[in-house]
Amino acid sequence: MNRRNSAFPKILNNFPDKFTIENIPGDLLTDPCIYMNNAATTWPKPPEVLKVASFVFSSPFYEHGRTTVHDAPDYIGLARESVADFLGVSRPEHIIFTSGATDSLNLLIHGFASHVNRPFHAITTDLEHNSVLRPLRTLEQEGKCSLSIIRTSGPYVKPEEILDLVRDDTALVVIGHGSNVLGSVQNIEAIGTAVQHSGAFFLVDGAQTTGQYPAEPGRLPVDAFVFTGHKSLFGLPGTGGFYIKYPELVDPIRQGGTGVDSAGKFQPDEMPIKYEAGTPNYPGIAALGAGTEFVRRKGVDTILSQSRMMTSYLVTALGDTEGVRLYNPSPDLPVITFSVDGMDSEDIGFILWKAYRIVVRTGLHCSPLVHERINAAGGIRISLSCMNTMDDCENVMTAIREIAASVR
Amino acid sequence: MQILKTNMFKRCVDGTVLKEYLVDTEVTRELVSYFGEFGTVKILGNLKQPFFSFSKKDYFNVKGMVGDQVLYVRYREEHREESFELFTTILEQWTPDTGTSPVLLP
Repeated sequence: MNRRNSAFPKILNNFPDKFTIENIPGDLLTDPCIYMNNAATTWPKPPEVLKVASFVFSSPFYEHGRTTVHDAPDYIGLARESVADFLGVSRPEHIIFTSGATDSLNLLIHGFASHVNRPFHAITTDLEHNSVLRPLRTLEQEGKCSLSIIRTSGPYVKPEEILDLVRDDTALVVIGHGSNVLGSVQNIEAIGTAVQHSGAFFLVDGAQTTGQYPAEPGRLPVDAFVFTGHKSLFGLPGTGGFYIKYPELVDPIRQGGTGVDSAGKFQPDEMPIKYEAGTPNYPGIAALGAGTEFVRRKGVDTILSQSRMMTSYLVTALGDTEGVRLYNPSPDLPVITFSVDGMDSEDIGFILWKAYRIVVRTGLHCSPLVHERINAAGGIRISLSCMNTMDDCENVMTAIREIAASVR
Repeated sequence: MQILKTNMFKRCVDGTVLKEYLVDTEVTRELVSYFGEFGTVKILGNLKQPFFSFSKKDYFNVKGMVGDQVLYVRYREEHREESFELFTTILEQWTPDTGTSPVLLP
C-alpha cells in the first residue's frame, strides 16, 4: 500500500469544484498583481518562511511531549525564543502562542475578567479594532465591566485622556499600538507609565506594529502585548500570540491537553502551558519563527525607513490628486486611507482589482468607530510591506489618478 | 444573452446576497445602455477597461467591467426571489444583434 495515496485524493474527487487547485482561475495563480493589503495579511511571504512551513507540513508530526520522535528540532521552542528576543522579553516562557491577535485579545480580556471576578471599569479608544471592542462590549453586556471609550479627535491618544477617565474601580486599559485605519502609532511608554500609576492592567494590541515598527514591550511599562503572526512578522494566518508580564493576573480560559503533567486534574499553572491547551499549530508556529528571523535579519529600522519612503510618496501623490480625499496625511505606519469623491469605495477597490490587478481593502476595516469619525461610508486602504517597491507605488498612483479623472 | 454559470459567493449579515454571473458574451457599452432602461446606470468610460454599475432601487445592484463576461450582483433581502427572476429575465432578453428587447417588469 502506498501510504502517500491515502483516502484524501478520493475525497477530492468527490468535491472537484471546491478542493482541487486546478479549479482556481488560472490568472489568479499566474498573472502578476500588486498586493497592497498588508495590514490585513502580508503577501508574498519570504521564501525562507515557505520553506520552513513546507518542511514541517511534509514531516511527520514531532512536537516535543506529544510523540516518540525525539531527535527533531523543537521548532516551537525555537520560535518562542526568537519572538521573545525580538520583543525584548527575557523569559521566553512568557510568550504564548495562539491562533492570532483576536484569539490573544479574547484570552487576555476574558481571562483578566475571570481573575478579577467582580464588576470593574475598563478604558479603551475609538481607534480600536473589533477584536478589542467586541470582547469588552461582551463583558459589558454580561455586567462584568463598565466601559469608557475615548473619542479621539486626531490620530493619537494622550495619556491624560486616559487618566481623566480613571476611576477607583478602573482595572483594565486596552490600547492599540498602531491603528489599522489611520496608521498612527501610540506612545505606549508614556501611556503605560500613566496607566501604571493608576494600578490598572495595561494591555496593548500590537497586531499592526510588530515587525514593522520598533517595539520591545518586554522593556516597556506594559502588562501584556499582543502580536499576530500573519502580518509584519510574515508568518501564516492562524498564528500569533502575546507576551504577559504577570500571568497570575489572567486566568486561563481554556483547559485541555498540554503534553505534560497529564495526570493533573486541572490546567497547570506553569508557563507557557498555562495558556496553551491543545495541539499547537506546529507548521504555523515554525513559520512564524522563520518570519521573525527574516524581520530580524532585515532589521525593523531598515523596514521602517523603506516603508516611510514609499508611504511619503503615496501620501504626497494622493494629496495632489484632484477628487481624492485623504484621511491620514501623516501616518507612522505604511497605512493610507482615502476615498474618491463621487464613487463608492467598494467600487474603487473592484476597479483596482479588475482593471489594474491591484489588491487593497475597502470598507470599515473592522474598526467602525474611527470610521464614524472620519468617513462613515468606509474608505479605501493601501497598506504596504517591505516586499513592496517604489515601482508598485508608482503603478498604484497611475491607476488611482486614472480612476479619479474618469469620475470627474 | 445566456447565463452560463451562477455562483453565490457571499451572504452578508445585512441579508443581501452577492451572486456572480458568467455570461456567454462580453459586456458591451450597448448592454450597459440597455440596463439603463430598467434603473440607474453609471459608467466610467475613460478607464483602460470601462467600469459600470447598474442599480434597480430596492431590488439589486450590478457591477462589472466592459469587455468581461462576469457580472457581480448584490440582491437586497426584500423581494429576493423576485429580484433573481427579474435580473435573469433582463439578461436573457438582451440580444446583442437587435439591441434592446422589451422586458416585462413586475
